[in-house]
Amino acid sequence: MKMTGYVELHCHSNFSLLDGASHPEDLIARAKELGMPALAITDHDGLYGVIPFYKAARKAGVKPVIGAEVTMEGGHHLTLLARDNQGYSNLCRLITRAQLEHSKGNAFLDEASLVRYSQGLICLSGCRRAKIPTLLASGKGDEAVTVAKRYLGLFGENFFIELQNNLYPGDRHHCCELVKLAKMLGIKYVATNNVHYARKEGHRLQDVLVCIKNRTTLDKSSNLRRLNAEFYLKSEAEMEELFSDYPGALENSVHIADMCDVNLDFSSYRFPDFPVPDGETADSYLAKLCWEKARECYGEISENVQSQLTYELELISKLGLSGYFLIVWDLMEYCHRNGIPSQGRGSAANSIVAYILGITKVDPIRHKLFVGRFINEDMSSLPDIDIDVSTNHREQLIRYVYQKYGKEHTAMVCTFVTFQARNAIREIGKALGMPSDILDQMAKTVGSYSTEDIDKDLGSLEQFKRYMTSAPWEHFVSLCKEIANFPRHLSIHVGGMVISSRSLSELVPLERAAMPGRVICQWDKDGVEDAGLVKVDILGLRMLSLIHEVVKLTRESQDIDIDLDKIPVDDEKVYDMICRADTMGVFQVESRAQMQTLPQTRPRSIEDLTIEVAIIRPGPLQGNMVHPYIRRRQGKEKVTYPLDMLRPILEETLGVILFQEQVLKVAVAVAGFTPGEADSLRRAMSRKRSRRGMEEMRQRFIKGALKNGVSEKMADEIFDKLKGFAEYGFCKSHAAGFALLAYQSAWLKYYYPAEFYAALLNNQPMGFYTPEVIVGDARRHGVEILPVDINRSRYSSSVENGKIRLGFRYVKEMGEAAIVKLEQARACAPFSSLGDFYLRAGLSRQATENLILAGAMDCFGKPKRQLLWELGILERQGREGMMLNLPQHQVPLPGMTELEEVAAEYRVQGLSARRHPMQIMRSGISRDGVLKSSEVLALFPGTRVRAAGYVVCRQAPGTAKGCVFLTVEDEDGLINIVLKPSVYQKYRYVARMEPLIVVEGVLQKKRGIANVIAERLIPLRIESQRQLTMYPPPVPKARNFA
Amino acid sequence: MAKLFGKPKEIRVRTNASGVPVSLSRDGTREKVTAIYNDWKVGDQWWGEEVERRYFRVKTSKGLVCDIYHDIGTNNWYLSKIHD
Repeated sequence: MKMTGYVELHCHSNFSLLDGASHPEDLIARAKELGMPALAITDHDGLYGVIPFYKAARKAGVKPVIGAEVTMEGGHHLTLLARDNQGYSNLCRLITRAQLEHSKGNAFLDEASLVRYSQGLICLSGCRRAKIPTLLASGKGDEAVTVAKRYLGLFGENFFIELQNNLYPGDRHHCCELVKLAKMLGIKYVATNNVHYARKEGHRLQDVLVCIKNRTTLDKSSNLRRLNAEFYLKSEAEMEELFSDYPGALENSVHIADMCDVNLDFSSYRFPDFPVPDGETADSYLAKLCWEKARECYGEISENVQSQLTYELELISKLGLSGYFLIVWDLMEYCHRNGIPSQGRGSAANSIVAYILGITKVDPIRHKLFVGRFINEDMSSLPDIDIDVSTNHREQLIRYVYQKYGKEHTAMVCTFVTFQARNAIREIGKALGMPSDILDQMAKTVGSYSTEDIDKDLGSLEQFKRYMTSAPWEHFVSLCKEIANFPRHLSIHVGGMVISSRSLSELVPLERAAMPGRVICQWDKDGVEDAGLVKVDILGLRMLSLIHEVVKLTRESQDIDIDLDKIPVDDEKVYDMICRADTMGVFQVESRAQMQTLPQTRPRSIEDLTIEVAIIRPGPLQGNMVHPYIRRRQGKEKVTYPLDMLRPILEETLGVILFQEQVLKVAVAVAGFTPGEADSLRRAMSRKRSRRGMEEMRQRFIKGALKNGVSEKMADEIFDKLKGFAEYGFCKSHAAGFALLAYQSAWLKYYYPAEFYAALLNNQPMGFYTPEVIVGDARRHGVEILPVDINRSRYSSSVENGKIRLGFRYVKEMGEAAIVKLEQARACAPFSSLGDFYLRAGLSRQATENLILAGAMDCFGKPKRQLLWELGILERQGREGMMLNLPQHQVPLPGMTELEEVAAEYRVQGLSARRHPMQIMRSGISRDGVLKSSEVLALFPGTRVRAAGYVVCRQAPGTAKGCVFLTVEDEDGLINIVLKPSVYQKYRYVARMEPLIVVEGVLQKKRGIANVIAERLIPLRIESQRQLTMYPPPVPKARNFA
Repeated sequence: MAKLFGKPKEIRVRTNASGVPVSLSRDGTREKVTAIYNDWKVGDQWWGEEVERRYFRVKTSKGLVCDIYHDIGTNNWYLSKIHD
C-alpha cells in the first residue's frame, strides 16, 4: 500500500474518557486504511490506552507514536510526544506529578516539572485551548512570542507550532497567525487534526459522550458540543486541501513520526531483587529453601518429589523467576506469621515449589497435577500466582507489600469500568432526552449484559414497542451498540498489585484512587501483563474470612479449638449433607445449578468435589460437557476413551475431558507437543481465537498425531473435542484448592451450624443468598435466631447458647460510630429503659426508632408502638428536659399486627429474626390452594400445584436456551421454578420485578430433583395489598445472575 | 452593523472544483467573489432535523461583505448575514 505523506499526531482514543469516541484499535485500523505509516495517541493527562494502541499498531504494521495531551496549570493544553524511551519515562513522570499533586480527576502540570523532565520529548504547541493560540486569539501577540520562545529554549528543535483547522470560524486566520509567529522565531510547524473519532460518523457518539460527561441532553448542550463533525482521522488529500497554504505542514508530521521510537516491553524491570542472605543468589536461595522445606513436607523425599522439584527449580531459574517465587513466598510467610488465612490459587497450584513453600495447599504429586499448565520452557507470558486472602485481612497484606517494596515500586492495578447494556441504556437515553422512568424500566428489564442484541432484547417487550418506530430509537440502539466496552471511568482492581524493580512512575503514570492515600497505575491487568510487568493478585476471599471467624466463634462459645488442617477429609456425614444438596453457604457448591446436580453426581471425596467445582459452571454447561460426565458417573453410560493412550489421562474424569491440564496432556500424548506448545494451543483455543491461528494449530496437531500412529480422522475428532472444551475449562489445581475450602466449609456447617451461620451473616455480602434467606436456612437447621438486643448484641452476630444473636450492624442507621457510642455507654451499666438508653447512648432518633422496630428493646417489656410513642415525647423534651422529670402522658395504643412487625423488621434490618413473612401471609392465601414448599415436594410428579414465596434468585443462564430459573423461598424451604421462554416472555415483568410471587404450574421430579414448571405468575402483593397499607411490603433483594 | 436575515435568503452560487464560491447572484444580478475572509462548517441536530452547512464570509465585486452558506442536505445556497 502506498504510504501517505501525512501522519496524525494529535489523536484521542476513548481512553480520553467521555471525550474520545473510538477504540484505539479502530483508530489504528482506520489509519492503516488511509495508508498512514504511523499514528499517535494523545489522550488527556494519561497513557491509559497506550498498551492496546501499541499492540494493535504493531500488529497492523502502523508505527505507534506515544504521547499525551497534558493540561497545564491554568487549564491550557499542550501536546507531548515521546521521542524515545527516555522521553516516554519523562512523560510518565510528568503525568504522575500532574495527577498526584492535585485532587483526583484534576490533573494539572506545572511548568517547573516540564523544565525538569523535557528530555526525549517532542512538544507541539497544542490545540485551540493551548496557551499560544489563546494568547494570539486574544490579541496578545507579544506574550505568545514570549511563551513560544520559552518552549523553544526548552525543547529546541523538538518544539513545533501545531496548526489545526477543524473548519471553525477563525481557524484559517489562527493558522495564519501561528505560521507568522513560527516563521518569525524559526520554529517548524506541523498540521494536526485534534482527532476524536476514527470516522466522520463518530461525531454522534462524541456529542453524546459530551452530554454524558456534563450530565445534560443533546438539546441543552449546543454550547458544550463541538460545532461540526470535522474531528475525524483525515486522509492526506483532505488535510492537503486545508493546509495547502503552508507547505511542509504535512511533511513535518511524517518527519516527527520518523523521529519517534518507543519500545513498551518492560520485562527487564519485572520485579525488585528480593533481599537474600549474603553469598546467595535468588536461584540458590530458592533452591535451598525448597530442599529444606521438602523434608518438612514429605519427610522422606521420594524419587517423584526429587525429580519434580529438580525439574521445576531448573525451569524457574532458567526463566528468571526465582525472585518472583521468593516475593510470593514472603507474602505467604507474612500471612502465616500473622494468622491471616490465605492460599495461593489458580494454575500455580500445579507447582511443587509453590506447594513446598506454602503458597498453595494442594500437593501436586498426590493429586497428579501437571506443572506445564503453570510454567513451561517456552513461556510466552508470565505465570500468574494469585493469592486468596481473607477479605477482612486483605488491606493489612497490601500495606505490607507497600512497606516492603516501597511506594515508588508498588501500585494497585486499575480496572476500567465499561459501558454495557444497562448503563448504556440509561446514559445514552438520558442524553437523547428520553424519559427517565422508561429508561429505568428498560435498564432493569434488559436481559443481556452486552449491548449487542439490545434492539431485539428490548423490542420483544410490549411496553417498549411503541417507541421503536420513533427516529430517536434508531439512534438510541446504534449508539448503545457503538458505546459497548468503552471505558467509562477508572476503578481500583480487586487485587492486582504491580511491583517493579524500576521506579514505577517511569514505566506507567500513577494517579489517585478513590480511596484516600491509595495510588493506582493507569493500566489494567491486561496492560500490565502485556507490558511485561509482574503483578501479584491479592484477592479478598470472604470464605476465608468466614472460616476464620467460625473457628474464632467456636473457640469463644464452646472453648473448642478447630485445626482445619487436621480435620478428616472423608467424613461420611459431611458428604451425605453435600449429596442432599443441603449446601446453602458452603463454598462453591451452593448455587441453584450446583444444588441440582449434587444429588446426581454424589461427590464422596475431595477428588469428586474437585470435579464438581470445576464442571458446574457456565462454561462446561455451555460446552455440553456436563451431561456425559454425569451419565457416566451414574453408570448410565459406558466409560470409553477415544484412544487407549488417553486412558491414564482421562481415567479420573471417566473419559471426559474436564480440566485444562488434560488438554495439555492430551496434546502432548497424541501429537507429541512440548508442554510449551500445548499451553500455547490451550491459549489459542481459550481467548480471542483467530480462525487462521486455529487452522495452523490443527494442522500441526494432526501432523504430530500421524507420526504417533493416530489416524487423521481420529486426530481431527480429538482436536475438536479439545477445542470445544478449552474455552471454558477450569484448571484442576485451582479446582482442587477450592474443593478443599468447599469441604472445610461443609464440615463446619455440619458440626458447628450456629457458629457457621453467624459467620455467614457477618461476612455478607458473599455467596449466592441474601441474609434473610440465610436466617431461614438456619431456622430450618434448628438454629434459633434471636433479635438484636440493646443489652446483649455486639457489632456482629454472635453465638449465645447455641443460638444466634443478631448484631447491630444489620440495623439501618447503626453505623460503626453509633455502635461504638452505644457500647461505650453500655460498658458503664446495662440500659434499664428507653429513657435511660436515650439519655446515655445519644443516638439519632432514626437509629433509636430502628432499634425499637428491630426488637432490640423488647427486653424492656413494652410493646413497640408504646416505645415509639415514648421516643416521640423524649425527642420533644430534649435530653435536658428529661432531667427535669416532666410528667408523661399515657395513651392507649393499638399493638402492631404480626405482619406489620415483620414488615418493619425487614424495613429496618432487611430480615426478620423469628418469622418468615410467608408464615403470616399464609392465612390470607391458603384458601386459594397455595401449598407450602414441603407439601409441594411431597406430591407426585405431574401434579398441578400452586405455591408462593420470596424470589431468592433469578437466573437466565445462556445455557438454558431461553429458560429462566427462579428460586422461591417460603417458611419451609426453597422451591425451584422453571420458566419456559414463552411463559417468561408473558410474565417477564413479574418475574424480574416482583419480590413476592404466587406461581402456578406442574411439578416435575427428575433424578431426585423437584422443579415447578411454571404456567402463570402472579404478584403476591396484589392479594395482600390491603393488609400492607401500614408499611410498604418488604422488598427482599434477590440476587440476579446472568 | 450587520444585517441578519431572520430567514436566510436563497441565492445562486457558482463554485470551483473544491466547492469554494467564485460568484453569487441575488436579485438576478451576478457578483464575483473577490475575497474569502473566513470559512467554517456547522453540523448539528442529527438526532432530529439534521443541519449541515458550509459557511463562507465573502467579499463580492460590488464591495458587499456577507456570510453565505451551502446547505449540504438540500444542496442550496443561502445568504444569512450582510456586514457593513
